[in-house]
Amino acid sequence: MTFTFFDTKIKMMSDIIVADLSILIMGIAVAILLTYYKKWRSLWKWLKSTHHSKVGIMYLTAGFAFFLRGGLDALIMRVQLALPQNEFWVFQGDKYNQMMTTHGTTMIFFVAMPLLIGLMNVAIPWQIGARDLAFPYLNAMSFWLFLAGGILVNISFVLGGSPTAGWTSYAPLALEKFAPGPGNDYYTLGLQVSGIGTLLTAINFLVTIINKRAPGMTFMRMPLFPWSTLVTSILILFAFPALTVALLLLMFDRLYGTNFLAADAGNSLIWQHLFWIFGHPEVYILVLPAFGIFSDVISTFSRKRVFGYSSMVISLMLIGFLGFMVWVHHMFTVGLGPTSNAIFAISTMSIAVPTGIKIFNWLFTIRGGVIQMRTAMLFALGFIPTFVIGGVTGVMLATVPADYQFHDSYFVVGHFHYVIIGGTILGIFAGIYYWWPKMFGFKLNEVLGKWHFWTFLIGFHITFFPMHIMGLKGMPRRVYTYLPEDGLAGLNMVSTIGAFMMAAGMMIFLWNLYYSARHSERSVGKDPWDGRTLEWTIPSPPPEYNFARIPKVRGIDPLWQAKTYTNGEIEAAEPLGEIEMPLSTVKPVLMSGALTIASFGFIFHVLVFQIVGITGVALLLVARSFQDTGSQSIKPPYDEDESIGGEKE
Amino acid sequence: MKPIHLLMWSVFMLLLTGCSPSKWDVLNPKGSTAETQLSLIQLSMLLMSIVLVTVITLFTVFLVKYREQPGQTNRNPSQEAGNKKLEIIWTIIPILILTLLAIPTVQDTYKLADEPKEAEGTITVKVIAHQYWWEFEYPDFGITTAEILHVPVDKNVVIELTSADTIHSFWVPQLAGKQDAIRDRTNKLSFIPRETGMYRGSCAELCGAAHAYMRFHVKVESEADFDSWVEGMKNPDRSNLTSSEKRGKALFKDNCLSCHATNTMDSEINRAVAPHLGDFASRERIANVLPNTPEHLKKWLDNPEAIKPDVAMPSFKDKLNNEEKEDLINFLMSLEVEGDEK
Repeated sequence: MTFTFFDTKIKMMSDIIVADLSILIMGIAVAILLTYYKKWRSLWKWLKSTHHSKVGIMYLTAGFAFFLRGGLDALIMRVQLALPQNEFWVFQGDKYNQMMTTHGTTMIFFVAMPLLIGLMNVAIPWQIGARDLAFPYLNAMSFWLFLAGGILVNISFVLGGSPTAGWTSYAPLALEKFAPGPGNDYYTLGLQVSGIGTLLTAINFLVTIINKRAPGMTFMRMPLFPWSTLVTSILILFAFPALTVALLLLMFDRLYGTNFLAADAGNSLIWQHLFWIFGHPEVYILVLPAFGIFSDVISTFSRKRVFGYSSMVISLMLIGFLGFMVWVHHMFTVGLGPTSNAIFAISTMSIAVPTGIKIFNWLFTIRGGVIQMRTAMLFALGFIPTFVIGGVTGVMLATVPADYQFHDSYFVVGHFHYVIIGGTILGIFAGIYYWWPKMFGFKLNEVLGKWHFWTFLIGFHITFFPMHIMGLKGMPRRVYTYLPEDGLAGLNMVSTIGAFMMAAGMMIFLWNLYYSARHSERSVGKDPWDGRTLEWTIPSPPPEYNFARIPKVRGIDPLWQAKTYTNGEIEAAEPLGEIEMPLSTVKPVLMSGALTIASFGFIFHVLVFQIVGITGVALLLVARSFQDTGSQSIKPPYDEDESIGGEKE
Repeated sequence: MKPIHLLMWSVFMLLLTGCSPSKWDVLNPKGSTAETQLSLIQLSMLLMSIVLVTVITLFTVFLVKYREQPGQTNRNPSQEAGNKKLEIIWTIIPILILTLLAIPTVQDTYKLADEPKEAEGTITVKVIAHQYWWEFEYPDFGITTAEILHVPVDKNVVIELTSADTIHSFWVPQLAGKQDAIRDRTNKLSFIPRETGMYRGSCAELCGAAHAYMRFHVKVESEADFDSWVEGMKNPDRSNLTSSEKRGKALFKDNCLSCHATNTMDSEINRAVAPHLGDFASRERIANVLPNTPEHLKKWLDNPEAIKPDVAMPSFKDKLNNEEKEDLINFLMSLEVEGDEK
């Protein structure tokens, strides 16, 4: 079955029909549920919202939806690879490359980043004693742009084919000549649109953290999650423009026949340099916020302050700075010469030093503490050995001659999953279990949480540990199959089994969300974990203005100090009064919609759509600059208790 | 996962794979370059195990010792802010460990960038990577082949790598590690093969739909065998063909020669469109996918795209009848280079 979509022939194969059907069924199911529970109006309220925690929760929801899609891609790949010369459904050759590319692109740009940004959105204002981000309107824009980019990349599968050149999308493979069709245009446009959103988020958090800290919260009194967010924002600010430029070059080469990246006239290595000048800091953009979460979680559940706070902060900055100095270690085999390889090997190894400092500081935070094995803490503890394994293989990869063997083999696949799942994803789960009661007013079930943790972590090691061995046995990365005589069958089968175990862990997590929403105790109070920082001084979930009165901070871990030295109350920095909060607006949704239309125009070469979309964006920008969103005044309920959080428990 | 589980798991994994690590390609080098690479892999693994063991030991001890006990009364531990001495220790020691690793890294990086000089005699091979096959040109002998790279043992082998299309990467784990093949650039990779034998190689950089099947072999042979192979490539003798093979040869001329070269007809013409077939019969697999048997060859001729995605070869299903295919297959199966030891 074939049909034409803007002059592009789209073949309806069985997999596409199944995908279409599942999209349809899910759409109908959501519509029915919304109607049945009469939730259309509140959905509309959410879509218009610019409030930090609402935007954060939308980030988390969308991030987990993409997580399921990326996970499905992973399972498809693992089934295809389970046996030598396997032919699973249609997923060989180009289709496998589509899966592999969407898996990587989705997991990095539309899962790891938005989940972290979601947690930042939710927790940063609470932790620094602010009522919202500096630019709530911009924040909503960021979310809708990310969502538009994510939808573009994900919808490609059913509308003309997904990108095929890997998440790194190297030229010349990603050029029109070797990858015709809309697939790789989805990649350039999707990442460009969501990239704008990420850049805006970074500016937003920078300004928020610099300007909106509560009185008395000096930089050196900030919890480490805001600190890591600050450093991450700086990294995004400098790294993403490189990606923007690279994507523009690729887009122009593909759409308008320029030759920036083509061989003969241009130079394909330009792409690799620009991509990795962005791509390596991106790794730290993914892992630093997780470091921040771990610091807070480990400190809370060891009932101790973070060991070596200032060296933790300095390490964050050093890692961020060195992160820009190492991009060539992704290109050791390109042939840039021994001098450049040697320099970048040393700079890469040096990152291990600040990272090591952090690891030992976490270990010594645990030491002498009272370790409480809550689910959030389990994820943080599981992180330490897992991430260290990923870290030491990272140093092994930095050893240039050794990298001539490891590079682009399954050893690398093992390495970066240990770092990204072991760091970022475990960090995200720790953060979710930790801040969930604050977000929704009830805890996630601890028993199910522990099942989730153990199934996911053991499944993870079963999946990815064998990959190091596959690499040593000569299995290259991004292959859709291998031969029986390669001796890789057993390892790959083990890995596939592990992948299904991780999937089971994810199912337990989803079940936990549903189960806890129905059965969990409703009144967790302000401080369910006996916490240390400002977010545990306000009601769960907090009122729209978070703090009825902005607190006055007198040291690190202000709540812990208050509990130790005074009656547990934190002094307020202002009298009770009316609070100005921004109004909600639908413009960010419209603007991201207009950009999506324009993107489709570029992907399918439809000039009308391009003009309509771009004009729409321009008009909305003009409209925004002539008209303020306005604000509303809220009067918090008078509180005899004088506690800064407003209502009594 | 608890460290002890991790350890048990690793041991289990080793047992499960049914072979000792010394048999894994990267850990079992048969070429000078791969030996250098292995020595660094071992050094880095050793140093990193020290780090890993230290962290996991501290982790386990602290976890066991400071875990909250049921009914524990003192739940407010002392809030120590840090310890300068300790923090300096775990800054300095990693720097020392990394220095130990960085020095040989830099030395060997430069060493591998130079051509080896220890062995007598140098063989230069120009390797041109194509979507999805490897072309091997010997400028010193004026011969070109594909899929199986022949090199003599204990000589300096210099590979000059480039690509005809997308970026590929030439990887022979047991001999030389890898280097990228990039159009418009020439990268060098050199090694001294230490032991005769057949070694697996593959493309390590995603290059398109059939990346998985872009494989090759390196045949390391004694100097005498190598010389006789070169001789066989230069002066092929195909006089004693059967009548079917002769008909096949004519069919090959009409149907295949526009892309594929063989020694007998025009070894001097390097078409660089499709693999050279001079030693087709001695290859293990057709296009690196199907085992090399007449039945599979017929399947391949009928529908190459179904067997290797995005392959440039057209289908001959309707272009040749069954007898013609049989003759052509017989001819292809007779393509051997004289003096090429099995």
